[in-house]
Amino acid sequence: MSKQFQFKLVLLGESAVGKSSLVLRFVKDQFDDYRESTIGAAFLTQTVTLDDKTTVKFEIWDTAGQERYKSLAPMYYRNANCAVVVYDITQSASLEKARTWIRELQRQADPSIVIALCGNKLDLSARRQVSQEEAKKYADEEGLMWTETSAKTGEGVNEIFTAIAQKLPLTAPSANRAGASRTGPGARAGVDLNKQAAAPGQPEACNC
Amino acid sequence: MFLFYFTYFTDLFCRLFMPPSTDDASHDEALSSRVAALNMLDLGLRHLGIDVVETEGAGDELDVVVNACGEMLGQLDNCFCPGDKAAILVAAHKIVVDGLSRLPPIRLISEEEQAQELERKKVEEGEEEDPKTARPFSSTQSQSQSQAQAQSQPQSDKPNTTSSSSTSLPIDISSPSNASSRSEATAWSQPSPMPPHPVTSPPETAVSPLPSDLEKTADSAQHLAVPNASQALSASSNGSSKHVPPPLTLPSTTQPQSSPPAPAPAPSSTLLTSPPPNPKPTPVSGDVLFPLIIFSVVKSNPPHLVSHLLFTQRYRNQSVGGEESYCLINLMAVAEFVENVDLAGLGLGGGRVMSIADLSPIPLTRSPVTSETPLAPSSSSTNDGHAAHETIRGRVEQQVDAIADSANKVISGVVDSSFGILRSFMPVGGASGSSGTNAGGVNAGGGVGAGGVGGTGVGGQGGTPAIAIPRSYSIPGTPKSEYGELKVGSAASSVTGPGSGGGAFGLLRKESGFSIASLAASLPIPAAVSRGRSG
Repeated sequence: MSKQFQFKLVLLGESAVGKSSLVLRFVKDQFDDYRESTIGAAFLTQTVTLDDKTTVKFEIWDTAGQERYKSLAPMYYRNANCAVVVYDITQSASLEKARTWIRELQRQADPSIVIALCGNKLDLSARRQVSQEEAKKYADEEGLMWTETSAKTGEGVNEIFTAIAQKLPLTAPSANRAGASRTGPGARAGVDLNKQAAAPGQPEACNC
Repeated sequence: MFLFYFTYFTDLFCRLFMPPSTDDASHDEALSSRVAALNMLDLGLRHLGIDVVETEGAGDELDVVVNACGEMLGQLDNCFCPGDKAAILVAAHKIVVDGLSRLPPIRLISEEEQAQELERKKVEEGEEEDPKTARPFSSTQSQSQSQAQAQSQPQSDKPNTTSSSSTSLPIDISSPSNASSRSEATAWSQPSPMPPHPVTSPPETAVSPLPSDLEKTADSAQHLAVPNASQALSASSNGSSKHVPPPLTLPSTTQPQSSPPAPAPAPSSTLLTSPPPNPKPTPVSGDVLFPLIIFSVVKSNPPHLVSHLLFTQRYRNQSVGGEESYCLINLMAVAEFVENVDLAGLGLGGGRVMSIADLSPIPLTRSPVTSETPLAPSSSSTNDGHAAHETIRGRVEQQVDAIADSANKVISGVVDSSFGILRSFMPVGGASGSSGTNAGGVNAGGGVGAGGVGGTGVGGQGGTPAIAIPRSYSIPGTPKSEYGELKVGSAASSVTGPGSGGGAFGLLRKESGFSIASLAASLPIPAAVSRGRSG
């Protein structure tokens, strides 16, 4: 049996840690028939096929990592099923930023969200500032997925996304996971429908 | 079928678009006034963290892209269908992305640099800003002052206070692998990229190094070119450990499609037609796309942007395409950012527009119309000033109507008996003519609630003929909406020239902002109230 799931994945992390490079590597590496998104690396989709013929389609939302846009992040991770928080292993400050992202996600995002912590720029490990032990310890404490990747060489990139894909249906078992991600927008539309009903209702009451 | 749909939709459009129960219109006002303020302060891409100088010669191109994006967003006004609007949103993003792919890589200014810039500016202005916006940063004052003096960028048509605050300092901290050191050299001789008509032909293209020898010259250029590069040198010497040098195209993160230090300064004329072969275009990430969209919105100030976005959000099936929803969310985030932007945090002179910011807050809920509100947009946004009255009127109407509905049942019962008492407060002769004025006066003085209730008292009589009404107070058959307009008209007039409403109501109003509702509630007729509720 082949099941198709669709998930919204949001990329968080300080600017210039390689969020978009990571996802570009992921998207471009896996399929030759990669079709360039109309809006660049800011929004990409990619499908992962798991062992049991389950396909998981990621809608990958890139965010602006600059501090001044941080307050807007909730708009992006709303209804997200998974989040990849990226830091730069050559900059310890970026891990600190990642921690704040994770704290925020745990506090404000959907409780079932799958969070993966991802140390990028593994190819620059000579300039490493964040040790694997430190990051792994933190990830274990918080119950996060963790890996180190290199968008440049592609090391670990597919693995992290595959691991997310494998973890996702597990965290919300049964086939209605896809339904959940589908009804997410649907539910919103329902709310909006109520608003519509209320909206014309009032002028009508006034025009009598 | 389509025709039917179209006519139907066009008919409904006015009602569905900017539904009166929401505050879309207020958001439009707030956004455009903020945009006007940002334009007045000459917001530049640099304030948003994009180093335009780096893409020298491409500044024009970037302007073209930004303008095209703004024009596309402006077309939101011309289509009704949510799907069309969503397509426009995507197209606007696409314009930016395509434009960026033609341009050489764009450097992002790191937040540390921006913080430094802010710090420097604060020192420069010699005043302490809001501690919330000030991020602790340990830059020595003397250094920052010397840097501040070292560069006197020619700011075109900069009004008084902003000239000091918005001189965006080119940033010195840069990774040696990035070619930004060259930009620092050129930044001093180049006028600010922020003015609406930026430099047409940067003279530095002649001396800018070729990409081939860029690597070699980068280091030396950093030593030679930057006159105040002490910070830069220290930063680069300790191996970019502390200061994040985030050129958009970091060598470590870039992949084959974005080889970093290749900013081949192609002539701007050829950029549109033939992309320069050497530099791989910027991979358009959210980091760079988002500021550019902000800049497009600020520069073009598309009318009713928030209304269009909310309309699209309400009526567009969001499961249609993830890309559409991404663009929608992106633009909503832009609107959110512009509405709430901390001008001082951007490095713009915050003090000058603070009054405007205070006058036009973004109402999260339906806020009462205060007497200041009509003044705010007209004083801030010159082009929308004439429309402000219209929107304010609509808002007051909608709120009056909404409150009238809810209060109708209670008040119409109360009116029956309370008017007998109210009559003693009012000169009988002038009551009928001035009832609208009274309500409007109360509205301006005491808030919408009072105006709405006052309107309901009169309107409710027209709708409930069972209640015996003294003839002088009722205007039977008059639609409530007319009351709303009457009230608004008088509200506006009483804002400018108060005291127009005569009689005892005027006195009451002047004393304490009294409202008919509170008056009626304070009257000792509990029996009448209960009777009105039960009836």
